[in-house]
Amino acid sequence: MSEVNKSLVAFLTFLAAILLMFTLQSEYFLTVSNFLQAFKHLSITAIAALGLCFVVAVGKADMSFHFFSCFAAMAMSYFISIGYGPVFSVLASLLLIASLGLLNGILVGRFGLPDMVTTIGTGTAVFGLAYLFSGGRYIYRNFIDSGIMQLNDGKLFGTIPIPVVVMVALYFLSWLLLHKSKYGRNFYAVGNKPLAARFSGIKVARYLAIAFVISALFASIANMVQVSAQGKGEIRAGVTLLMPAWAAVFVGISIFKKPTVYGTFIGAFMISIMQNGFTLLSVPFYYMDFVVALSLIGSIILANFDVITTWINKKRRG
Amino acid sequence: MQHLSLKMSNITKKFPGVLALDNADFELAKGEVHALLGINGAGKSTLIKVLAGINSIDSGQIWVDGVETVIDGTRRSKELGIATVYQAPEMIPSFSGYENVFLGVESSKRGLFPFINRKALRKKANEVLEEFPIDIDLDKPISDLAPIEREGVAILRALVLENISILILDEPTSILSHREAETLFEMIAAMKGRGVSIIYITHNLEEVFIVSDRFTVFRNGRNVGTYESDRSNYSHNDVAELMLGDKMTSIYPDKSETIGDPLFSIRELSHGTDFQNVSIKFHEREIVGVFGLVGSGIDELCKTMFGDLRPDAGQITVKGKDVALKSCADAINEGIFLVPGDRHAEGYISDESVAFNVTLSKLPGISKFGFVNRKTEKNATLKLIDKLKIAPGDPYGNISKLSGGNQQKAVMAKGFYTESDIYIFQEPTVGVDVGAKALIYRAIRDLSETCATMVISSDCEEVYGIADRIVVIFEGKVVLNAKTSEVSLDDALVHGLAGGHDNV
Amino acid sequence: MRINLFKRDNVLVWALLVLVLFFSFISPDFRRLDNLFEILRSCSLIALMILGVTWLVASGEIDVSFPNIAAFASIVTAYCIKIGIPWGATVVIAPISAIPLGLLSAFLINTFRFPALIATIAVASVATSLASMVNGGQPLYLAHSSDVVEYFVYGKIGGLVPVLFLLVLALFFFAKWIQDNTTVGQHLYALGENRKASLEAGINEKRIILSIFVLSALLAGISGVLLAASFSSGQPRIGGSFFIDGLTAVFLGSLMVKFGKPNVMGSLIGAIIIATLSNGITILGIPFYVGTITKGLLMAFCVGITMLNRKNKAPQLPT
Repeated sequence: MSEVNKSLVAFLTFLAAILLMFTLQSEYFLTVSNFLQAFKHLSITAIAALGLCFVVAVGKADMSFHFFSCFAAMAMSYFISIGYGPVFSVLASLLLIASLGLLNGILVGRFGLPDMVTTIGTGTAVFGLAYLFSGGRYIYRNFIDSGIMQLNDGKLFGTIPIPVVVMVALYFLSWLLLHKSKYGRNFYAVGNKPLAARFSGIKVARYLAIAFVISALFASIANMVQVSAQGKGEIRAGVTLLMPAWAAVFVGISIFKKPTVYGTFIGAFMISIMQNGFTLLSVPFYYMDFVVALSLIGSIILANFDVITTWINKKRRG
Repeated sequence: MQHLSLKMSNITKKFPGVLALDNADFELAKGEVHALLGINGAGKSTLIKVLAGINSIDSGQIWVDGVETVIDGTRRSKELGIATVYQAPEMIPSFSGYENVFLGVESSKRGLFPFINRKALRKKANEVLEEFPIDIDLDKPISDLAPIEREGVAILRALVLENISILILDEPTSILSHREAETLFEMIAAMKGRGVSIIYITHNLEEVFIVSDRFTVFRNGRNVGTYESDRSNYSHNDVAELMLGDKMTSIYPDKSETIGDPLFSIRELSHGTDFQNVSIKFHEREIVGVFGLVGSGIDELCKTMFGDLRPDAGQITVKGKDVALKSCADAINEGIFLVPGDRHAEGYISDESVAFNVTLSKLPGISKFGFVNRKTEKNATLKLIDKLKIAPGDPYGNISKLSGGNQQKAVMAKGFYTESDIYIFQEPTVGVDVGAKALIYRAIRDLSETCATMVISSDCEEVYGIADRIVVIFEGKVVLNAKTSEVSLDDALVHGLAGGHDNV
Repeated sequence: MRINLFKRDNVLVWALLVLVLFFSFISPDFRRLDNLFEILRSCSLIALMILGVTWLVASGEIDVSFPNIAAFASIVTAYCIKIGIPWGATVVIAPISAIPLGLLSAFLINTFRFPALIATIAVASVATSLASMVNGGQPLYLAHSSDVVEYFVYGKIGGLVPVLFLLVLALFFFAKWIQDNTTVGQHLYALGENRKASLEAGINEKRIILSIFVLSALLAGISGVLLAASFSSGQPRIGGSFFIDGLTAVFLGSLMVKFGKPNVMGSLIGAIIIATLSNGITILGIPFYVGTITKGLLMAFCVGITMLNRKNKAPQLPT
């Protein structure tokens, strides 16, 4: 436990330093409205990362969720454009994407195909399929009238943005599932040692499939929020989810030594708050990517402190 | 010291919680075949890992060919001319025989593109091969070769070392058939002819007299004596006594007097070429011990009985009801539990708590409405920790930090928590120290009071010691099924090694 | 050595032939000789990028950063020209500037035991953002072009055979020689197949991984220079098509020559198949996304075939 505490303290210190820096640099940073804005932004990264967290928990890699989310958002936009209501559109596209996620799960779980390469393949194919809805053109029709934009603009009790509500709800449910329920243990057992899990009576393939479905679903929800914020169905909107989601999950792992719901949140929070701060300082977007990548690398290096020390010692000796 | 190929003195090696080598001495004369004996955990494997440069020593001295030396890595070991052939030699399956022989030493050239002269390598490998009474097609990929051929490739790999002086063979016959073993013995004789000193590790007492010039027995990390391998001076029992010390009698619990109701049976069970027509009946208050060598089909038999493999033919019957097992989960639902042989891969979930592992196969037992109740979990785990004397007894301690014996007990506790009717223990004491062994045997005996229990192992002595009924499997077929009291250990062993046909 | 075209290992050559015949049959534009050579030219860049990737995948690692590194090198090229560095120096500087990115991947994997996927995702992101910083995320147009570099990109011998393809072909034959006749080639396959056995045999895993990552980055860098020349600009964000095209080619290639193992000649033919597919789809006026779908499915299909043929044997592909 003490090892975990040490990393946690290190990360919180780091986070505090970042917050302090932004507060000093921009008076707008430490305001309620900015935090609501930041949380709204955070919710997109955080939700996508949460789905990925399940896949990493079962010991696999998903390279398709961002592509799947593009398909879901285009499907939703398409349903909206042909006149369906927002609820139906969202649910119908989630259903579609769940079945595609299940395909990943079956290929990797049941047939034992290598996760990374298979999901790159299925992801690309599904991304190609997403073009069927509009040939890659934006989908505007009915967007404003249908009420779908409430997914981003709506507020619970007039203050809390809907994306934040969705994020909190999904995190709470996932926390219950992964850390409090008996099913959560099976996810970790499968990820840790699939053979031992099987000999303990756990249906390994089933848990792998569920994890891939959750990953596809959550990324899709994140991208739907994103698309409804943009006010148009844009095919490439979800592609950018890949990097921050992986970074968030791995920052979480480097603190808690395994993929966890809270670790993923801390990871997503750290990344988002940096992006928000840099936006306020009007730093161009590509610097943010740079910072996200560096914080991913830095956090993992930090978590392997023992490796660093032995490495430094070796260099000294050699 | 000139005539000694190797001298080790006062070698000590500590692992967390275990003193693997305790001031151990060992001497190997030039050109001799020296058998190394000892029960599991006696320190044999640590000794060879020291020689191979995998384990470093805490204290002690080593001389190779009369020169004091430090073996600080596998590279150094190779430079000294020491080569090891492990029990199941790791190979590159799709590479040809000769490519595996020269793996890692294909070219002495340095630089950007060290060229591999395949023709030369092939020729060289075949030249060395010609000295041996075995014909291996070295052009075939390893995956197409028979076990003895693979063993041969592994030995060739050692022999192509330019300066080979010491060859360590780690239980080389364990995956070989009887006939193949004889070929191996001829190969060993041929190697001796080349002046190579050989350390031969084995469990098989008979092989000691066939193959070796001298033998050394290890016990508790110490050398308890080196003797001439003269059949007329030592009986099997003498050697066994040396290996076991005074533990021979005390380690196993008493046998069962009576036999209870039948609980479980397999009839005419077959699975491909692994095993055929195996029938065994299991009763309450009776431990059935199944003995077979590695590769005899016992591993597949376990997995079939636990639903992990599907039988081609045959019937599994639980309490009079025929069952068709489709998965391990099915088996557990039917009240069957397997404590698997490969503890690290199949047994426990690493870096999780003992409680996590103990309750994993019956999570409903500790949850309400799907949520885990920590208190129930803790109490259930504590009960089993107490029963099996798992140490340290913290239910939330990390299982990866426990010793091998305690990990094994935790895996058993996982089984006990399911309250199954039928328990299969596969190789229950591999990598477990002697103290824990006795405890594990005791627990199995206690369990057998109310359950059908089966101990399946490639360690004949263990099976003979624990079981009331012994079943021996040879090349996938049952060759002996008798009450333990009615057969001798030697008899059982002979059946397992050779199917009971000729003398070994 | 006799080459038997009817072996399983050569099925892909037939697939390519069928593909070419199919498109030729329905499209007169496709079957024009200059178009066929154009396919070879257009596959060359991809082929160049995936040579290192092929070996990385064969040794059990993966690299997803190669298109981003190429993009980075392309903008470095444009920047060098902008600040007045002559072309002769630029074609050396730009590829070399890509090497640190390869070193970074190898360092993260070797020293900090990063999974190759995570390391190269991070490095890809670093490469893209560095590339964007040079010109504010915008493409940077080449101030002037170089006849020599243009000749490498567009030149055709006898007005037909693309110079670029010939060079790439020569490189691949050299790479094939390395792969099949040196210890480096032998050891990288050994690593991919049984890491434990390889380490026991004393193979220096870290050195091999380091050198292939450096090679991969260097080749991506060279492709970056060629990309800059062919677009007349440095592009910080080259479309993701290189990524999927490249990886699909590698896995298609693993179905031939050395069945189930990525290998350079297979990758080259894989790249030609992918280029043929893209070309045919464009010429027939089929929406481009049909190509995307096909490539994705092809990739999953290749992996599936390899795995099905390896039932009961230890999987070797990166997982």
